[in-house]
Amino acid sequence: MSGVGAREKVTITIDLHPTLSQYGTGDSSTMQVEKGSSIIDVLDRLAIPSEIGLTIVVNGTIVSKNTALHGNESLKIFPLVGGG
Amino acid sequence: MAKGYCGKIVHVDLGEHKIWIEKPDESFYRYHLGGSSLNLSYLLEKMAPGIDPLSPGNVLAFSVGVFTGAQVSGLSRLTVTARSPLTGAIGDAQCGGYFPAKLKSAGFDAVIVYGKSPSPVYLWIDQGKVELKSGEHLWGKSTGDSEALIRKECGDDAIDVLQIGPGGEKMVRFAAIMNMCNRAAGRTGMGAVMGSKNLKAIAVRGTAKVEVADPEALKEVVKWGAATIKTSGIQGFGKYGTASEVAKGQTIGGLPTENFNSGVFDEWKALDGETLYDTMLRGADEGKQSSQGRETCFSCIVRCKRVVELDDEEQSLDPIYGGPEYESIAGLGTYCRIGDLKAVSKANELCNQYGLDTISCGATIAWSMECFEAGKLTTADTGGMQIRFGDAAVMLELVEKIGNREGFGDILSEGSAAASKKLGIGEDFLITSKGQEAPAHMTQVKRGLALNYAVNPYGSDHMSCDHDLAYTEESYDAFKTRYQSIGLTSPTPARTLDANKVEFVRKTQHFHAMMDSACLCHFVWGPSWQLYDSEQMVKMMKAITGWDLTLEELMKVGERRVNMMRIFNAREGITAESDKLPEKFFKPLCGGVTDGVSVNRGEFESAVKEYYQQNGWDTETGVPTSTTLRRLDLEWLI
Repeated sequence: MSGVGAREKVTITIDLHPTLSQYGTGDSSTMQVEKGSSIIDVLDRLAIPSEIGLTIVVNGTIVSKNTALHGNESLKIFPLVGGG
Repeated sequence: MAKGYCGKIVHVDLGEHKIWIEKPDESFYRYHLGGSSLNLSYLLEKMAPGIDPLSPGNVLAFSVGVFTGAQVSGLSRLTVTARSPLTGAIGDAQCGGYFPAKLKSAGFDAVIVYGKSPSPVYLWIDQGKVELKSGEHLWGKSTGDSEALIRKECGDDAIDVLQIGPGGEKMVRFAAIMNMCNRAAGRTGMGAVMGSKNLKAIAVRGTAKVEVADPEALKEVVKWGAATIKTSGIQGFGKYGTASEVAKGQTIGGLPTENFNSGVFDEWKALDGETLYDTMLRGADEGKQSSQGRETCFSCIVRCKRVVELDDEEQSLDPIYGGPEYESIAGLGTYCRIGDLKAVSKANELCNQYGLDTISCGATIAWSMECFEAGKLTTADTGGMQIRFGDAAVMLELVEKIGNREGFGDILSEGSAAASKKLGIGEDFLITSKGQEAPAHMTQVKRGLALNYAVNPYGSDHMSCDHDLAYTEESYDAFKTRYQSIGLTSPTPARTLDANKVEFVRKTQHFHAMMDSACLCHFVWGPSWQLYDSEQMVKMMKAITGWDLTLEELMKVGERRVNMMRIFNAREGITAESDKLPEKFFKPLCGGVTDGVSVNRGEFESAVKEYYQQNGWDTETGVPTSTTLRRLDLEWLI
């Protein structure tokens, strides 16, 4: 029987830029998260330091790390480091 | 005297083969910090307006910063400044490596070059001694061959050589000045100016350790960097190099493709940093690319430079020529719709051999491809060449023809804007501002760059302000403290160009301009994502010189540099009319997540006016007012 307040689990896909590969498991991986949890929770689970500025793209749009997840999102996560 | 700098500037009159040493006082060094600002003071003082950039009257100034040569990451940089033969405006470019630190160790802060030598020469700076030597035997040689000959002649393989290749000798208008054969002071055609003077190279030997005011305090700065890099995005950036931008650009629809007609390229993966690291870096076949395929600059722990090596049936690549950066991969790859990393790396090698700016070279070739595909160019114009997007063999052939000023390459070596004017075609396909081709960061997704490309005194440039993605609501938290230190407290969406975005562009321009004067690497030092923040920067500067510099004083150095450049340009008749974006950027992009996206013309034009106002410039002409010049201690320019 589910506990009171237990939230539904949903699946998301995470694509970490290679420059962040030390924090993930390599190529796109899936993760089970509580529906309604935020991207911050995902970053915490990946242990990506908060000092690293990130660009997070969901379905082609740059989003805030406070964005709530509902399932089936495809997150692409890049460090905010410029190029020359 | 404060520490860090030498207090000696070499002056060379090539026409008379005369050399003399100037010893400016401490206030001169504190006012300029070196680099761009120092160079500009000589150009503004010694040059009358109206000088042809490829004539002996152009002054070519090379300088390092007051801090160069100290053993800290990101300090070994050199700035070259002259009137640009590509734009007619001020020209300015930076390079890294070991040469800058060596020049300081050899006893000098700068080299200012006047006139033209009757025959090719090179300048030999050896532990405080300076002489001109014949360069006739070097003329026509690739950068690799020339460097080897100079080292043999001077009897030392450790000599560092700053030089032009055949591209500079032939005055290709976007010729670069190279050091280590793979570090380029690439933009604005400074190599052509050097070639116009018959100056092939500056070679330097220096072993003196740079004295610093407080070695213990400097060690703390070094330790801070070593500790911080572990949790900084810079660490991964160092591993995969700037090429790691390819994947990001593709994802946000900002990877310039087919001469900026699109922001997405379906062959992007073949060109990205991970592919480069896994397949092309020296040592990749043995899994040793991290040690063998990455290089660095003097004392720098980031190690972001690439080294490629290949010898197969398709291509051979010599590691002496390094490896492609993001801009080179884009310019010679995605701009031309070429998804062949071996061919792009070969083109990068050719540009380094000939001494050509990979951005302008690739962009000019891409422009000609679009013209040919649209029927504006025919094989009668191109000497029989079919110049189409996606054709790597043609792209490689054109790079060599440009480097040799041969056939159709002779026209392209003038740059795309001049080629368009000469041929009377393809104006709509240009991606130039002030005649310099746009780098691979798209204004459609980073609207602050739309403003910067247009107003930057030396033309389209991506290393002269911070980029929009770091200053959005989504990203601001990570850099809040750093941005607040320069008064940036109002993040705004990347695709917006409001007054807050103008302020962001302006203040980060001043920061970057200061770094080009102090000669700091923009990946290691900067206002946001860079390894070291401004607090550490002030500590570093005090530890080296003993000066009690403040961030406010430093930002003033940067703002001065921008204003000096605006005054230089105004003297050449280059004012508000030149602060323009190419028409193409106001047209919709095609394909992917940025399908239909364009820069908003009304928003852009308002932003330019707002920019002038915030800077204290005449809002019609964009020229700094006397009041502003006095505020910046630039009375000598009134």
